[in-house]
Order: sequence, then C-alpha cells, then structure tokens
Amino acid sequence: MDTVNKVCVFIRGAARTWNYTKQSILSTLNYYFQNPDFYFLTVDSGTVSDQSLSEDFKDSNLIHKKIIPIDAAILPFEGKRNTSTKWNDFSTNYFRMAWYDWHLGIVKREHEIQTGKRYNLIFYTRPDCFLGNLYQEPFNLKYSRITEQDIIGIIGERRAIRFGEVVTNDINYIAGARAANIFNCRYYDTKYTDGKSFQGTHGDHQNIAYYLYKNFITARHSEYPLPGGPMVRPNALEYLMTSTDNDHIKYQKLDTYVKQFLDLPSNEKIKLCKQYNIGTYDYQRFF
Amino acid sequence: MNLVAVSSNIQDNLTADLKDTHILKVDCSQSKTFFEDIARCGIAIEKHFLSEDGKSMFWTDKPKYKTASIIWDRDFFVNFAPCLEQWQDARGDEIIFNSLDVYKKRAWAMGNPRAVVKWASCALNVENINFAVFPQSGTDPHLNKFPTSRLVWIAYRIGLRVYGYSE
Repeated sequence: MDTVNKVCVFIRGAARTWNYTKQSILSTLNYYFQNPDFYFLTVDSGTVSDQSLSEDFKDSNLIHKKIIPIDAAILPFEGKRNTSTKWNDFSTNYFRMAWYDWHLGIVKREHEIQTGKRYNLIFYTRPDCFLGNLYQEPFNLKYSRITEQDIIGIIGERRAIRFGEVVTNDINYIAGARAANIFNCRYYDTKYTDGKSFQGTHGDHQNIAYYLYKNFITARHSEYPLPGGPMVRPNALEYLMTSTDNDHIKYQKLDTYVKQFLDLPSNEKIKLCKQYNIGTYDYQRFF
Repeated sequence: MNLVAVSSNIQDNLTADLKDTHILKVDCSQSKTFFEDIARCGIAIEKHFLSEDGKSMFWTDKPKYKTASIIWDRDFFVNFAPCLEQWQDARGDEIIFNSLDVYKKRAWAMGNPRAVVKWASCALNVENINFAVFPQSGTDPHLNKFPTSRLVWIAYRIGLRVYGYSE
C-alpha cells in the first residue's frame, strides 16, 4: 500500500517502562499507521538490550535501533542541570530529546537517500507511554493536511499544551516531512536558550513552541485523532498489568500515578525500578 | 577555518586555492538528483561536526569552523572564494547563495554551519515541489527553468536570512 512507506515513527528517550508498554505502543501504531517504519533510540541503562529490542520489533518494520552509552546520553555540551521552569544555563530536558531527534533525523535522511523512500509524515513518541487502541479505522493520509510536502505543521495530540495561541506538547508529536526535518535540527538552535533565564512558565514545553514559531512551523491542536497516551511510571505497572479496564479508563487512571510517583521518596522509586527490572539511570533525575 | 563539502560529481578541483579550509569530498555517485547531492553533503557536515570528539561542535561559543559550504554544481562556480572571505562572521541563521536571480542557477551555498545544515536537511523535500504551495514557478517557463530557485525559497520558508552574492 502506498501509505505504508510514507509514515515513520521515532521512539526515543529513556526506555523506562518500555518492556510493559511496548505491546500497546507497537500494536496501536502498527494498526493506526499501517505498519510504519520505526526508528528507536534509547540509553544503555540496562532496561533493554540489542537482543531484546530485536525481539520486540520482530513483527514490525524496524529500520534503525540504537542504544547509546550513558556517557553519550549526558548532554553533548557543557551545562548544568536546572529545573524545567527556570534555567540560567541550558534546559537539559529540552535538549536531551533534541539530541536524540537529531541522531534519528540523520539516520532517517540517510535511509531516504539510500532507498528512494520519502516519508510524508513522522510521528514522535516515547518508550514509556501507554497508547491505547481507541481508533475505529487506520489513519488516512488523505485527510491530513500535513501530507503535503510543505511545512504544514507539527501537531500535538489532543492533550496538547497551550500558551494562548501557541500550542505544543510534551510527549507525542506528528509532523509533515519538512517540518520534521527542521524539528530534528532544533538541538543546535540555541537562539532562545543561550544563557537566558526564565523563558516561560512552562519551561521546556514553551521552548519547543518558540522554536516552531521561529522556523515558521505551524503548531496547532490536532484536528483528528492521534495516538497519544499517558506516561506509565513504575508505580502504575501493577495496575496496568492486572487491570481489566478499557483503554479510555486506563488513560484517566494512569495519569493519576504520574504525580504519585514524583512524590515518592527516592528509595521507594529505586525499589520499584528494581522490582520491575528497570535501569535506575532511567529515572535518575527524579532521585 | 572553513568547512566545504563538495559533491563527488564535480570532477574539477574547484577548491584547490581556498585558504584555511577543510574540504570534505562527499560520495554522491549514487545520487539521482542534485537535491540528493545537497542532502548527502549536509549529512556529511553534520557528521563531521560530530566526529571530532564524539560531541557536536555546533554547541560551542568558539566553533572550529566559522562557515560551512556545500558545492554541488560546477557551472556558475564564481565568486565562491571572495564570498567565503567576506562572510566569515555569518550569524546562526544566515545563508548565502551564489545568486538569488531566478534566471541563474544556484551552484553553491555557504553560511553559518547551523544555517547550512538546517537548510540542507530540507533539500529532499523540494525535490518534487508541490506547485500549489510554490506558485512562483508553477506556470512561468522562465521561472521554472532552474529548479534551484526552490532551494532559495525553502531557505526563506524556514526562517533563514538569505543573501545572494553576485547579481
């Protein structure tokens, strides 16, 4: 089918609860985007291995997988870590994902050159999300304005974050071909971040919005259903594995665990990670 | 120091006389279009910036390379050396073509490395232009003569500051 080769998915970030969310992510995306090409990048925290990823993607079109060493996962530049709402130096949360996207963006372009394939649409997500299959029918490129080879936009899911007219997102994005290539370059665009402090009340998220507008990329709320679900923290895994709730209910309940996890003491968080074979590096910033 | 990526499809040793310049000869033998040449050269520059110490030189106040350039066409290869000399202080969003004249071919682009690689990352996206969003060259046979006009258009479109060197 023509559309099959025109969608690709970037899954990037710390693997975290990937071993428990992978089924929902892969089955939903394979159904909704009709077997897209997958690009996967994570950090060598021990949560996943090269072999386990090969097994995970055995029924999917995995084009590229990469597990970068922890040393390389530390930001590729000098900078001290600050909270996401204020930074006097560099916002690591923003640039870490930008660093991953830049890597995958290069691989994607090389793949396009080598195969002659041209993606129309790129979907971005993270390994620790629950993506419920809430869709009656697969995504249809024909009803998407972003299928045009223009910079139409990078669009968040329905849970988009708004700053007045500015729309951005924290977890899932979808972008037209050109918008994606520019979005993947954001890691070396520091116009709004070089040594500036207190950019906005929402820190990292607003940073993305600034970048999109600077590059004339439309950012807006999704006009149609897009896969996008809550993060799954280790304290939610027992619920996720035992629950018989439908996906709509799971979406709501999983959200409540996110805040609870952040409020746990560090030793409890580490205990949960060890209980579920999650590399503690994945959640290091919360300890 | 300047970094110049040259398509291997250019046989001539065009860059022999350039001073203080590191030349990357990029294998473009499999390219079907010059858009692919540009995309390959852009990736080569990004990888070169990365390969120095495993980290990227884009993130530094004192980059080793002040400019990056891509050369994909030997025709209209004029004024490159003086342009390189004059634009040593190109800012992060500035890119310079050999000409902005729609009746002339674009043969090279240079500028701040950030701007050049960002622009090059979009080269494949203007390979098959959608004339609904690029009406300038839709019907006019003269304007449509040189598809390199798209390269200038996309540079504007992604918010870069675009300059032409020789008019």
